[in-house]
Amino acid sequence: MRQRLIEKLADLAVNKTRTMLWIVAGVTLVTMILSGGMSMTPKWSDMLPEGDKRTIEFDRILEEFQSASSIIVVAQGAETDIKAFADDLAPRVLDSLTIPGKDIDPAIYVRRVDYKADLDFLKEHAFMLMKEDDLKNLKDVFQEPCLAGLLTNMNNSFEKEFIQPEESISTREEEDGALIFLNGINSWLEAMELTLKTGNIPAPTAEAAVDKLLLGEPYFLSYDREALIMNLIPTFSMIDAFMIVDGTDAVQAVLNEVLLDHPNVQAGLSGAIAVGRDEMVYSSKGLEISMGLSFFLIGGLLYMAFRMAMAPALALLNLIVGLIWAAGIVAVVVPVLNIMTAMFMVILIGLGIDFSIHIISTFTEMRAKGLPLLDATQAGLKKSGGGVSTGAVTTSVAFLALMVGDSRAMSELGLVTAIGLLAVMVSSFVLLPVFLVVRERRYAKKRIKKGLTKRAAPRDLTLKPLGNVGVFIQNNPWISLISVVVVTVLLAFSAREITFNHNMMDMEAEGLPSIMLQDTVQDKFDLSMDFAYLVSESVDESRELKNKAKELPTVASVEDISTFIPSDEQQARRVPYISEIHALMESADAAPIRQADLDLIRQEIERLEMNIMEFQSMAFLGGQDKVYSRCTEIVGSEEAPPENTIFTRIYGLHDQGPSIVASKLGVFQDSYAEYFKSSVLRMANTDPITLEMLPESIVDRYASKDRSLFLTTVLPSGNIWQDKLFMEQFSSELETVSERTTGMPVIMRALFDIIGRDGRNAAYLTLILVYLILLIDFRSFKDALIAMLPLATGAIWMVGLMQIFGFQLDLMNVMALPLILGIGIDDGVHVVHRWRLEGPRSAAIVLSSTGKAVLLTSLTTILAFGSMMFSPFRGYASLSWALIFGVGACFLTTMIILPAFMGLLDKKK
Amino acid sequence: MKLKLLLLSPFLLLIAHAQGPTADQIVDRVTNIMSPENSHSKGSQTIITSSGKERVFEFESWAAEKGKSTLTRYTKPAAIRGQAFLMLNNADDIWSYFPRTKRIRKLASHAKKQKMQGSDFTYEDMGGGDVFQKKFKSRILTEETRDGAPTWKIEMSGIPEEDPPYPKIIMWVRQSDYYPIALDYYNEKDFNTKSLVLSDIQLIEEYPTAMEMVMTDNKERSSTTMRTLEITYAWEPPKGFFSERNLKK
Repeated sequence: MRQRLIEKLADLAVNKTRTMLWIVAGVTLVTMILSGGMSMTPKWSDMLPEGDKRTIEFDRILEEFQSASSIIVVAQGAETDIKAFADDLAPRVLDSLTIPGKDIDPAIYVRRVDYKADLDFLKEHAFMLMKEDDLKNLKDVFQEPCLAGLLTNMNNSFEKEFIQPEESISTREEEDGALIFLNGINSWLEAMELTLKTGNIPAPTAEAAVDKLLLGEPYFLSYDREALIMNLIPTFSMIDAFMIVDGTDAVQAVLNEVLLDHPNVQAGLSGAIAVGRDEMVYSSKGLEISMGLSFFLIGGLLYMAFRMAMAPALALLNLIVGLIWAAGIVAVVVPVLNIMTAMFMVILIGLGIDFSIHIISTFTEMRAKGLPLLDATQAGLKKSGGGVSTGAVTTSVAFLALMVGDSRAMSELGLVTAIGLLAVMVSSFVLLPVFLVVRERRYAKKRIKKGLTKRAAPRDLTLKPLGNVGVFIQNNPWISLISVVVVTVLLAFSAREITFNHNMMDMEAEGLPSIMLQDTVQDKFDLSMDFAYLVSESVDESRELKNKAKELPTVASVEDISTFIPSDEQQARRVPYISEIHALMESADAAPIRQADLDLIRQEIERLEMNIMEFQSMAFLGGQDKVYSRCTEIVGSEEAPPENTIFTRIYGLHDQGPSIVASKLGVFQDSYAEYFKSSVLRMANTDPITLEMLPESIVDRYASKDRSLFLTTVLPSGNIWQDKLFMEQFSSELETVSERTTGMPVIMRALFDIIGRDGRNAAYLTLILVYLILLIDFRSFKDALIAMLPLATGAIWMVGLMQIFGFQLDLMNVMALPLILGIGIDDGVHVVHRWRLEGPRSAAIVLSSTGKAVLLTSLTTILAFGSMMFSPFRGYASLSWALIFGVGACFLTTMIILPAFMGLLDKKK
Repeated sequence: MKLKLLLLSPFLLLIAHAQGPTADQIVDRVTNIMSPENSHSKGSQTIITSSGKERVFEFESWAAEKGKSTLTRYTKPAAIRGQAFLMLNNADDIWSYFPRTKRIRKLASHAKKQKMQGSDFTYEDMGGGDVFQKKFKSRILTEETRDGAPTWKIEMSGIPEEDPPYPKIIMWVRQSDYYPIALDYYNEKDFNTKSLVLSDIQLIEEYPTAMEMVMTDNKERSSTTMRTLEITYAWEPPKGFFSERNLKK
């Protein structure tokens, strides 16, 4: 039946050339239109099974919670510069945006900008949000607004800091708390210094110093205060793939504009959306480059191999048509490509060109033998058609076997590549013979025009050296087979040593601005983006999850809405302390400063300096680097006596004479005392906090759009990428807290498990299916087995060689293992087909002709996959290397093992 | 009857011996071995700071009354040279001396559950005494080989009324010399929060002594290595040695 179909196609190509061309053009046009519906998603979660609860939960979070899909602006520079930049950017980014040359109507991409803490809310409820222990320790500070009293109380509280219950500053949370305290004191001392220097202080400066002392820094500053984060809440989410690019570009355009007014500031975009945008844009660009490059390299290779310009042109043109057909069909079957399936085109280029090579090889061979056009077309298609169709079907079946897996990464890649490959195969049988016929006719016309009656002397396009190698192996089969066994055993040992790289960061694009800024955020803010999510349906449930998660050994910190809504019991327990603060502050007054008070004030300032010095020593011993360096900035280092610290400067200003100092300190006290008192009284609000009272900026961070769900973010205590066991422990511990745990660590752990399992199952199934197809094709157990031997050996060589060359397996290149089973089988199929056709002891012709075609197809596949190395996605490069090793190994094993079998088996005959 | 018992007694003794010591007997031996009367040592302490850097301190330490009283003075690096800690009553009372401010500060009693000088040890971990005997109930879980040595794996459950430092500890005790080579500490939720490994065990003046102790905090993902550089148990504390006044010297 196959032969009859091939004959018919050859007949149509020769006798109905024009009709065939019109049909092809029509199909191409339709599929081209269909392919326009294809899009891409940058989410790793889209590689998990469709019904996977982690994926469903993750998508729901992205859709429901605005905070899960934010654009982060990272600004770097001096503290005052970056604050001014943030104040400038915030209103401008909220305006309607247009993308130059893209949109006619303005589009709103940013809903809100969070870059400062909501001080109004904190001013009303700060004490109610403080832990009971902190209230116990800090209540002393809030007793007196007068300078001497405040300093004394501050010192008392400072000395209590050593005896905080349980954890003190041993955790990051505690270290952050200590920094807020130190920064507040420093700011307040700076206000004092300014007044002592100038005799005056603007009210906003004094009030800002009080706010910092009572509430902390409102801007989201890094520990070194040289970087600032702004959180842009977009009107779209990560789910809206199209908006990701347009929205991010629009924000970037505004950012660039604002940066022109702030030459000392460097700023860029990061966060899930900006990273998603960069990955989409750069990976698309990378794949475009890969495709262009592979077309160019393959064209060059074919030109050298066939020594005629038209052959590569026709092969590539046929491939392009096949790819358009493939894209059109794929767009209907799988309209959204994921990170893995996005590269199917590159795979198709590498594999699809092989069909053209085999068909052109045999056609030109037949024409070279002097056969008329129809006969040559038929004979050429017959000679290569069997191998091409069997190869295409086995490879497609191998890809379809990937569908046995649950993960969309593997099953969709299998489906789209199988469909694509069959589409390219069909175009190769339908269109390529037409192209070859047209070319031959044009060539004949040209000859007639030029008055030439004879065809040019046929050229021998076979590769004799390969044939010679085949003959040598055929004559010395045992030497070759023993050598192969020895090498295979050695490489099998090497393969056993290969390790798996679980670090997803090694897979991500390198050098992308958003990724680099992610690293900056990690370094400067000590903030990892690799958190897990838990969703709850009430604030109480969220609090319960938080408390459970905090207990887990693998959890560093947990953030949720309950931080801003303490439980009724917690609030009730805090009320007595808050009432006490209120009562004390209400009765307190700031009496004017007299000269007699100066000694006490000076003593208390010195005591404060000593307290910070001791705090510094404890921080050094405790390895609390951030606290230590902040203390060092305030009081100098232990080794060198402090010369220019805030304290030495204040001591210096005390030498102005008692009356001047008393008067200036009086001005300072007047500037802040009233505001301090009113602020403390406002903060000492015992009204219970409810969800309705929270400002939008806080609620949006933790609650879903309809406020029915609440998000808890859990940060792991270790690096999930560098320690697989830790990643597993973190994920499984969290799953004990909630079955609906999701987020990158959980998703990636699941992906590792599922891809590993899918790959193994797909590989076994592929081997069985390929063997069955070969059995049907060859109708011989022995021949089917022989055709598969080079593949099995090649797969071992591939992994062994990867290990020797220092490669590790990873989430991307592990896919190469089942893929190579589908790709590598073609080499054996073509050679065994030709061997059966040519008869016994035919190694010379089989290897010089089909062997050359196999060499060419291996090289084209290598070139196509190799071109992926230029993708910014390092995952693609890693897959590319694995496939290069695999294709190369399968070629070598085919060229060594099969001629040896030809020698052994034909000898018996 | 008496004769029968007399005849049986060697067999009973043999059976008792074959059954091995009880958990309480093992813990008693461990406490004895781990609590020499006095000691004077020099050591180093390596911690990982919050920004991931390694920091090494050197110190000199004195202990008396089976660890009930200890004084530790840091000698290196320069940033904390002279800083000293005095722990009395098994770390119930802790004082610290700061050479830069020349002040002595008393830490409250509950500070003993805090991390000691940034290490993963708490003050209480470093306090000596008979905590294992008094505050825990012990039972042998199994016998197993650890680091090539046959050990008893003992579970010590805290007695709530005695305010134990941890709700549960699992301890591996080497059968050859009753020296503990590893301890896993558990919290109320039964999570293994910290692990201590004692190694390079040398016999010094008849006392087996771990020259290296590594405490890993499984939650903070940090670890502290304490290395003994020199040690003697033949030290007698002068009168008034463990005093606030001596802290300043």
